[in-house]
Amino acid sequence: MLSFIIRRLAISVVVLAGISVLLFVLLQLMPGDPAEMMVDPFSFSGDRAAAVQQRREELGLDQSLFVQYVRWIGEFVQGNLGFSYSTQRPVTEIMLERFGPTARLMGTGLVIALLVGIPVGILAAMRRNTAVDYGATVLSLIAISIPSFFVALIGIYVFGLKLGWLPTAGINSAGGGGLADSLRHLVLPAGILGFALAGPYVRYARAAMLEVLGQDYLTTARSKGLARRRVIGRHALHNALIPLVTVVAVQIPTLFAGAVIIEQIFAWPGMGRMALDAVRARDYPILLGFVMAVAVLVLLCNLIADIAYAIIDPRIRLSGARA
Amino acid sequence: MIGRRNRSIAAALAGLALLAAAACSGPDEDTGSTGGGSGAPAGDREVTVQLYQAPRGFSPLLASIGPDHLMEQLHWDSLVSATPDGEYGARLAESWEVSPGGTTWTFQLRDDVVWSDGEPFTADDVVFTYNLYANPATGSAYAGKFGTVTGAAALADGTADSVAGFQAPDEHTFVIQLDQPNVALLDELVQPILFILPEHVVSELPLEGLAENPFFREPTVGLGPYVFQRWVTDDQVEFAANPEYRDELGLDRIFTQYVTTDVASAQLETGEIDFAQVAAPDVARVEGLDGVTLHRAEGPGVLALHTAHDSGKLADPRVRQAIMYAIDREALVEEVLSGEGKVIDTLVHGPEWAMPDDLVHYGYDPDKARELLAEAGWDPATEVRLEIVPGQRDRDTATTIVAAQLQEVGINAQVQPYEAAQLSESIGKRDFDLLISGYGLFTIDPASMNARLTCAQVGGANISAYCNEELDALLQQGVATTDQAEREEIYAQAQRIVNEEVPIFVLYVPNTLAATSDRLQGFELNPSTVDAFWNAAEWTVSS
Repeated sequence: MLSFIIRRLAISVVVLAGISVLLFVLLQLMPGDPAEMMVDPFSFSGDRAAAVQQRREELGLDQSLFVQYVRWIGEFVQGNLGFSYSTQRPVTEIMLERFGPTARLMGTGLVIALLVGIPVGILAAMRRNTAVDYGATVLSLIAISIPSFFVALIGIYVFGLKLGWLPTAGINSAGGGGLADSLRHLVLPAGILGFALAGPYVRYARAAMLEVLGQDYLTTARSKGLARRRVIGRHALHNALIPLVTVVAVQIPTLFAGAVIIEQIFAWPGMGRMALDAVRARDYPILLGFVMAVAVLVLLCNLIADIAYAIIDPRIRLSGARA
Repeated sequence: MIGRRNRSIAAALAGLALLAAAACSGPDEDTGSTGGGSGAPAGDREVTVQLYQAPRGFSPLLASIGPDHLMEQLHWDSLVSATPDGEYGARLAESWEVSPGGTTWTFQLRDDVVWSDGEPFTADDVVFTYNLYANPATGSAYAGKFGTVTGAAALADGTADSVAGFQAPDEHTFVIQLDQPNVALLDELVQPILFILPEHVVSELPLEGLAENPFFREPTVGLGPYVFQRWVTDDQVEFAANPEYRDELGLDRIFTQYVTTDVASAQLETGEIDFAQVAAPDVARVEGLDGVTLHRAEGPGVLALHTAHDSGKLADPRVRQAIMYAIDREALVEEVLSGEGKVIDTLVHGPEWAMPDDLVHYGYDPDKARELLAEAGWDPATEVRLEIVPGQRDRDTATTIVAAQLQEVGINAQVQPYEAAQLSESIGKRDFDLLISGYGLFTIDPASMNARLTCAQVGGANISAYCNEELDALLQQGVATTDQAEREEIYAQAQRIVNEEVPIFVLYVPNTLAATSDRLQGFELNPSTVDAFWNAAEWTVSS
């Protein structure tokens, strides 16, 4: 088991290094010069060309791409992601500040999606081809196919503007406002994020449950005279949940992508909004930090999915060890 | 076996729940006095105001962006600033006078002003700060404003440590000595507002690259009515009443919050925000809201197209006039701004005395445009790019309409969408044909055109690189003459040249629009959008 994890970790590091090179090159290929942008032509007064050149040297943008990369990776392994071009603050510090709000949004969204999606999916499987199943299917397809930004705008209009039950944007009222205030601000964005994600969970849970329900051992269990409740509860449910662990882990990056959009609409001060602002401002250090963080997240989630699966299902572990 | 699986799954779910729980109790959770529950701005003597972009901080030395400039009006203070009536208003300077020759400016400073840490404010702070502005080594974006101050050149080439022309003869007098006369110097000090910094704090910081010092992210000392307290989140900042402020203040706290104008417009309706900018198409809706007041003023700035004159593509003035005749600007104002703006024919559009009444009006006349193009021998195959950073409704629409109308008269106009960084780069490379941008405060003194149209500013604020010796001579005379009648005559001539030559294509002057909640009292709209918090010291809340 340990060697399996170590091997997977080693592969992850290589993949990460590859991603960093690719990213670095791609970012430099983005049109537009950050040094030019930092000396705003419409408000600057003085020798602009000299000021731009001074900025370029300060930022090390006059060096070759290779030198810039080596410098950056050297700092990266020490946990330092450089300094933001636009605010001059350490990128690590900015990302840590932004991580809290994003984790709050994603974590709550995920819990909502799990608490809604999995029970509904299982219920739909057990009541297959009844009104409950059809209802769940239609709802989950709606959740999957309507873009979350649209649901978000409807949500803001109905609950924020028309009914006035919930705030329209932001993470808290002016100045913080305490736990109740934070929760009120969380309801709409996290609820909508959870709704979008619950759709796929319903589908997966339903499919997994149906597959298990068709297995021979369930027929056996039932023929032994076990109560239906016990057959479903102990035998079917547990086996159906195994593949869902993987699905949840692999879907976390999708959740992250959804959070980027939700953050933008709700003026949520998280990492997604930071990344979009950084794209507009050509803030390469922030962009690099953000995309690397996403890469790490994706690799980590895949790793966790593999390991979790190996632990839960001995067949995977054996074949994994042999390969 | 099943038992073990059971535990694993339970553990995985519990882990997720923990993650969520941990996420819910973030570090920025403050159990402040403001109990949660209501979505309205909390507290009796507090208001929340919108910033339309993300703020960086409080460094007045950096090239100004709107949100920073607004926050700086709360935290710092300045000698003078522009008033809503289009005049220079006294702030830290009680009064000022210029010598008859136009080379010596003397400012009498208030003697009752104290920094928020209790240190007295004196003329030394002003001398110190103006030296920072004039010194490119600090990263100052405004060294170009002080090129004619005595000794500025010596500072720039390193033969002096400070500018000899900035002097403090006593604690409450500040003098600027110029090599060349400039009777319109104040215009340089109000756009952007040049805020004063505390010498006793900032002099401790390294001079090199001072503009970007982390101090300006969280300044510890202020001079304005409401001083910085903390970044609540990365886009929400808390300000508290300055205990040392010279006048009694009506509020305890102000929160600035970065939200887009769309979101802000919804928050006005729910009462979550007390001040927001308003986009022209939203005016009717905002006017219909209960408990919200719409403020409207004629704008001091322009939306204009800029060409790189040094590229030579639009070198013939007849071609430039043709472009003006080809565009139905009145219709643009209706279509794009819902009528919230006006059309002008020169860059400077105020004050009244600077506007001669014999200027040519470029009304919509496509036939005349074709005629002028034919006279100039314009090649219809020549591509003319309309450079724009898309994403703002008004500009996007205006650009599309302009492109179609130029094509109509035989100019091969193509919209060229750019990222902001590409647009800046195209200016650096001197490679743009009709670049759309809005800016400026062109209504207080006609000398405000100097930054955009004089040869000396080529390579700096004169991004079009327009250089006309005749106009240059007039503009130089204009700032060297104290006699009002003479100035009027000089600028009448200058305006006629600008009107005929069309160095910059002014599309329109948008109205300045903002809305406040009825809670916020004492707000007075400044026509300059970035000066919206100029009278924050007079704000109160209705009970």
